[in-house]
Amino acid sequence: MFKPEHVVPVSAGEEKICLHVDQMIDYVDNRLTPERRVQIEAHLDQCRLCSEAVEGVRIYPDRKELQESFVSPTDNIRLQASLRNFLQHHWKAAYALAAVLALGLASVLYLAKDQPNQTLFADFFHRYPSAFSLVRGEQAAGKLAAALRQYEAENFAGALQIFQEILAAEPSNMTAHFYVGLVRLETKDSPGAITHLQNVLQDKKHELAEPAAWYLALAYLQKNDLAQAKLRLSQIIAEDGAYKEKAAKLLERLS
Amino acid sequence: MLFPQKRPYKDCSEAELIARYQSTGDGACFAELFARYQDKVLPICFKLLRNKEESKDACMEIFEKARNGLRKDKVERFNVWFYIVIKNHCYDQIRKRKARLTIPLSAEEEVEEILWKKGRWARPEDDDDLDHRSQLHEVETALTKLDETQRTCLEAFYCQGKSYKEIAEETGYTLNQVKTYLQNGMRNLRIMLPRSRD
Repeated sequence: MFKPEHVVPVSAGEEKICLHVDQMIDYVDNRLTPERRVQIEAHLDQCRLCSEAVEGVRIYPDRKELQESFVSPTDNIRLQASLRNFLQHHWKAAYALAAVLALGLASVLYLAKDQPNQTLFADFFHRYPSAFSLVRGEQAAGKLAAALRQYEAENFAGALQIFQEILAAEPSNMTAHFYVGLVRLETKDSPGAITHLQNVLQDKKHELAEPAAWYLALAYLQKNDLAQAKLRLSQIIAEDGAYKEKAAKLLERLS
Repeated sequence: MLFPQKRPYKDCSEAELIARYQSTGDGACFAELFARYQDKVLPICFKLLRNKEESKDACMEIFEKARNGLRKDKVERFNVWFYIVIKNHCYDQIRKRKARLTIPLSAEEEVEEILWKKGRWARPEDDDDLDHRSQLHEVETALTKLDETQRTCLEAFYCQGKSYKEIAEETGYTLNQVKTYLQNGMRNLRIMLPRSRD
């Protein structure tokens, strides 16, 4: 609350000095000198605003509340004025800030939109164990063993590099395709995962075809392609394999 | 600078603040004006509304009304205009919330309210409330029966919101005469207005 000295007008005579609430309280409570009382009464004779306010002070039940009341609106308007001033002088920065905030909000909304599917993915995705027994060929075995060790150690970048070397030399190596697909899933590269897992499924009789079908369904889930995910899960259930039960549970959660 | 000095216009006169606010819409000008008078709002509202919570709500509403009104109203003296804004708003509230008003107005306050409405609605037919129109008609009739000195003072004080001093200057009466005429005029009016009798 501003004190009386703040109310003194600049142009003397043009404006009357109105009473501050403390002065009104002192007047009503009879705490003024006779001279001061006369001055105040002279003001009350000429100012309806103050004379009405004094009547209100006389009957208001809480003096402290009157002294503390009603600061926030002016603070609010000062804040608005400050903001307007800021926008006038720094409009480029303001627009940039607004754009960044809008982008941030859009990202949050986008991510939030996909959140349930990603939670579901996390619930059903479990790392496939390395399979040394499936390795064929001495050279490939040496490289595959190295790649699988990296995979088990969760060094996915290292594993990927070795798997790609194997595929460069032997493009139809389904084991390498399968594990590259898994590494892509681990690194949230679902399109890459889908490509490699589909390669595995070209050979329906391969030992890894069945798990590849399961991870392919998960890759579509990670990609938020729910139609494809459901289709793949339905196929797994129809084939009545080892992943039938898991697929049924996931399909139920997706429905 | 996002937060410039707290009161950039504290040295400006009211006329400068009003002119600047009306031409630029600079909220800081209104804030400065409001800061000079804001501590009168709550007691005046309470005097009329007799309800703390309603009075506090009214303060916020008056702030908004004044902020919007000052952009377009012709205002020569802020305190006079502001007083009218406060009082109009409170009487509007009384009218709207009459059913919920737990503390009735005293007879004198009731007459005061009617007189204020008389000032607001120069043409009673413009008021869409039949009860008010009827009250205004009663006041008009009662005023004609009063002594001219009392009628002049009552209309100036209650209908036009003028101060004792302004009335004294306009009429040539002394300050004490103005106060006496108002007191006697109000007493006579209360007697003549059947609705106002205790």
